[in-house]
Amino acid sequence: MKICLALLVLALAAGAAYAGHELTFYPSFYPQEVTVRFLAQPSAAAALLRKNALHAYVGGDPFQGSPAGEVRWLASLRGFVVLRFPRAVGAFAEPDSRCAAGAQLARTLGDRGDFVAHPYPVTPQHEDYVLHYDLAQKARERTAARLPRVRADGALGKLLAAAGVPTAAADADAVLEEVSLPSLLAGVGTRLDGWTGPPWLKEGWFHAWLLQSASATRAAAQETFRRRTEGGWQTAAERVGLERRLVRQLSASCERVVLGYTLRREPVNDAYNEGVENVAADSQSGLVSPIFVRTVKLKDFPWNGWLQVGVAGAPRAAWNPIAGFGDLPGQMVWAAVGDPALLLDPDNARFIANRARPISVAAATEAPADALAPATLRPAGAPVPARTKVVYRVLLSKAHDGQPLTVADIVYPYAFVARWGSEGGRDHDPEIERASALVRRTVAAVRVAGVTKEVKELGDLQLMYDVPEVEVYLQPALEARIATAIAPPWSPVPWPVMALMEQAVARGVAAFSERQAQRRGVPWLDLARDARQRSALSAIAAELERTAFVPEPLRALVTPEQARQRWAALRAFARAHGHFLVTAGPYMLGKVSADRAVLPVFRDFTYALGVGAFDQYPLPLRAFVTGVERQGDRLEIQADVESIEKAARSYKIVRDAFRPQPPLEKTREPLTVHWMVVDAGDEVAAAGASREVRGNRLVIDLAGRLRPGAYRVVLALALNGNLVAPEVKVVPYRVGD
Amino acid sequence: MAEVNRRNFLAGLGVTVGASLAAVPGLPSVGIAHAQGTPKGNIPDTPYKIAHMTFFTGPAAVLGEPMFKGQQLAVDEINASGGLLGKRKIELLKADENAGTDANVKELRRLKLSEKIDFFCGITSSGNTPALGPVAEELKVLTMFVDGCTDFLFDKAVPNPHYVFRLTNIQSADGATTALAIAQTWPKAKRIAHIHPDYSYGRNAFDHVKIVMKKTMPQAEIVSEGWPKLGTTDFSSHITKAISSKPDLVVSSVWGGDYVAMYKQALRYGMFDKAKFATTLALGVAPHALGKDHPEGVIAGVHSNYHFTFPGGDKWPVNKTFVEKYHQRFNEYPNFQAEGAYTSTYMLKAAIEKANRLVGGWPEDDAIIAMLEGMMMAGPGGYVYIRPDNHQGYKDAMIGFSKNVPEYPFPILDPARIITIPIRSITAPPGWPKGEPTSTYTWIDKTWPTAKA
Repeated sequence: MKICLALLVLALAAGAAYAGHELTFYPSFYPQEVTVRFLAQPSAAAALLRKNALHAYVGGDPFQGSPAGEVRWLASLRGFVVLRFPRAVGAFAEPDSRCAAGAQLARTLGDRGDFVAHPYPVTPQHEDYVLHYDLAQKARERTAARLPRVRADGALGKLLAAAGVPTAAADADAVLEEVSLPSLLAGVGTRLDGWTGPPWLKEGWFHAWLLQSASATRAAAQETFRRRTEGGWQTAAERVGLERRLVRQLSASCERVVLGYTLRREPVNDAYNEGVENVAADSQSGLVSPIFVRTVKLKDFPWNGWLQVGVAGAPRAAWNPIAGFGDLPGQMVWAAVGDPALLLDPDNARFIANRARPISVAAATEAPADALAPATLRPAGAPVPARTKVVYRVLLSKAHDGQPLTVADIVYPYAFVARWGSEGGRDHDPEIERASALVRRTVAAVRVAGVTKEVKELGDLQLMYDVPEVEVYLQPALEARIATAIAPPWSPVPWPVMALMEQAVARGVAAFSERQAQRRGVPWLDLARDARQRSALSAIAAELERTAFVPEPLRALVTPEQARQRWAALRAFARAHGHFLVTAGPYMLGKVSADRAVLPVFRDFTYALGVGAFDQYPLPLRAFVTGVERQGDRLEIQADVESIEKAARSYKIVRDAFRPQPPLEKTREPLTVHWMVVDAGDEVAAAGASREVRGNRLVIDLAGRLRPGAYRVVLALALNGNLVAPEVKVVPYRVGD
Repeated sequence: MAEVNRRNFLAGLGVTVGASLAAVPGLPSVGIAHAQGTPKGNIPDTPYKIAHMTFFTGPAAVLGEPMFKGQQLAVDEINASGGLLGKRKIELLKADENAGTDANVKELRRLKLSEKIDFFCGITSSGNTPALGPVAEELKVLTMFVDGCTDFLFDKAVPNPHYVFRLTNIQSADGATTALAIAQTWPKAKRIAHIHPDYSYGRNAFDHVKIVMKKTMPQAEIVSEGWPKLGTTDFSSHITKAISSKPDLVVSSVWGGDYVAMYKQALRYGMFDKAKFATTLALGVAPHALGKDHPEGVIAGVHSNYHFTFPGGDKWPVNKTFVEKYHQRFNEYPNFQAEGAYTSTYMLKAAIEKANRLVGGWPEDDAIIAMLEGMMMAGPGGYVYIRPDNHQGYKDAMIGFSKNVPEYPFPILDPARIITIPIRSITAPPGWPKGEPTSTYTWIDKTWPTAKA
């Protein structure tokens, strides 16, 4: 199969000339340039912020008690505070006593500074908080117990002291520790090229699983975890029940008791002229997230402007999109230069469409014979068993070297991970194996169904895009939310860059991952910052251009002529820019020095997303239950909802009674009530989410869902999908005989 | 064409400079707060549905949001006084113009067919008015475009409008106004450099600046042209090219965030110390869109000829009241879109009241249309007149000089140096044949005399 795409034509419609001054589409996002400054000391960031020489600081509070100036704070989940009992002896030999001691200590500590007392691993910063709310309350309400002798260092030692809890030394019963969220997720997340995962990356039950790393505890919950992650449920109630059971099983031994969580507070400059606005930050990763650079706007510019972002620490991780960019500076750079298939929703645990846009998910029995096998990208030749079919539309664009992406670019990652991620393979890299395990286990086949034209009219300008429609067949039966997030067809990096990296690794120039680099005694692959590697890459690229190299899996998709053109463009780019980190992302990698990376905007009209595309994500709004009334088998909910009133360079959040959304007022997501019904034994009898409206009330219809008995309905409202720190209500509910 | 003295020529056009208000004596007017007497006949109490479509997201939201607020303010005022004809409260629906031209056309159809709207209003983009205008005519929806100012709308897309009106001055007025301001202010300038965006607005501005300067400043020569491509963020090559041509004057129609990026880069090159500077749109976004580092004393165009500081003080109570109410309600100052939507709503109200006085009861759309045609209203920005033949609104043009004052955290127009131009002096009159690139261009080219150099 040969797929040749002529892509992305910017055309002038003949005979018309009427665009106004208000060109309404500017590709890429607000700032025209992002400078990421690597700041070794927080005090340096504080000084720059005070001088209005920095717009935001990624990594925490650089002021540390000193005056902050005109800044606004953005809070996100920094980590968990846990009490670890190294030995199960004495008064804390039994799980119950350890659990009670933990709850008592949490109560004693209370909320202080960045610490929030919350003796349960699923927190208000998690989307599934509402589904654990009752259990979290129970954990808070454990009977009083004797405080253990606790050892703690640094900030946690101060926390204990502030609460009047004496610290112990070697004779301590328990150790108080903070487990940072990044450290918890290190080694379990997928950040490979354009893929982000796993689909439950931000969910509280998954964090609970990661927190309890003791093998005995894990073993007790292993089967529940397997069922939850492999789709072993039929209904929402079953799924929620599994998640609650998992947390219960993991918490049962209380060898590591969660006492609460900490909030990361990151400042953004709020000055009238030099400040920024329209800032979205992720509820868990904060500013070091793709949504930040896709929303932040300088106050002095309707769009454009030079954004200065400070990041804690110097870059340590290599800059390659496969197994690099792992540290904070790298993540910040990649958030702007890369472009994931899907973005993590900042206000819940779901994903939002970015370059790959899921349009349907359906049950299937098999992939057709002409679908491509992921490892070879050749037609399978016979139907392949598959139980889920996901269809995506993919927003292509030119890459930074001026070459249009094609279908070959967006399907190549499947073959790439098959080569480098398969255990025992000649080219195996354990980090790629780990990060791609779910993809390799799940994807059965890929089929390019066709390419449609999309046109954006801008007066006399027509922007025309070729949009491939790609079917991805998955082996298991999966719910849409999970199925769409596993392996969207997309790569922000063109295939020649992927192939160049492969050649470099195969020839022993470098290794993709740090672990493999250490094992083989070679450098960690860096496409931009290592002069010796750049030189080696240049030589390889020259050879690949000369031979019109096409990776084996792409030989049916790319002709030698096309390949030669792509290699020539990549080499020309590298000569002009001094690096090989070509992507199709919204910002380019410009000048890099020891203390900063400059990222000019890629304002190319083939880039299909534009300034303001994610404007509904800053300033997450909340909704509040003002009344719940039972009407037969229904609960009717009255609510107040927030809205934003923008005024010049500021805004006000106002609260009004909910009224159904007029159909023409498009918002991110209509007001939704997330609910579950639990019985007297805390088992989940029903669960769901409802947007049904009668009059001005949201409705939960429980008809036929419950057997006779006494229940509690736990519910929370989400406006625009925002489930961060929701107000949760518990309503008694009885079903008669 | 005979040569004339420049000063007399500009005086003949009615170009004035100062803090005065250019009034048009002897023309009928309907004050914006005009009181409606008891309406004649039976008036239903069903809501009157207005759909407002503008940009609520994307870069043009900086224009669209104030537009909606302007209409919202007028609607709230009208409803507070009992509604249209004292009975019909206005229900204001909103739709995001950022959905794209095709989606906007579908939405207009849905609004008419499903929501049964009575009046369609708004629209910021000139890319959308030529697409929506014909559909509004087909659906017979009474429509007032607040902006979307392309000459193309009534020159070509809807050459014989019945249901469709537009309040904003046409696009060609931007270039012509700036050029006349240049001729008034720096008449001896000889070497002119241009920097315009490389799409039709830039071409339109360039064409109209050029043709007016050809007539008013025939000694002027273009020494440099810069056409930043779409998406340009680095204007340095265009700035240095302009500077190296040693111009007396640089003219630009770059707008919005591009303009801000350009002027901040031009500051670094000292461009404003080396040449005079004139723009069509420096203050043509929203008052708060510029910073105080913007150079003072440049000719700063205000698209659609409204800036909230003019007419200032107590000279024009309608503006004073409007600005105060708007600021009180929204904690910001209105831009030209806010003023346009506010005036549009009151124009509709006035037309309904006049029609009711004539025919009684709730007037048919045709009766409202008849009242709108030829209507002149005193809005916050001055008198606005709807020409009956092409349904186009005309308001005297104004432009001025950027100035920082302590009262505002952004630059405003220097209140002492406002230039006003009767709009009839810079737009093709009724009956003038359609022309290329615009009717106004050919009218200026063929009928204006040339001033003595």
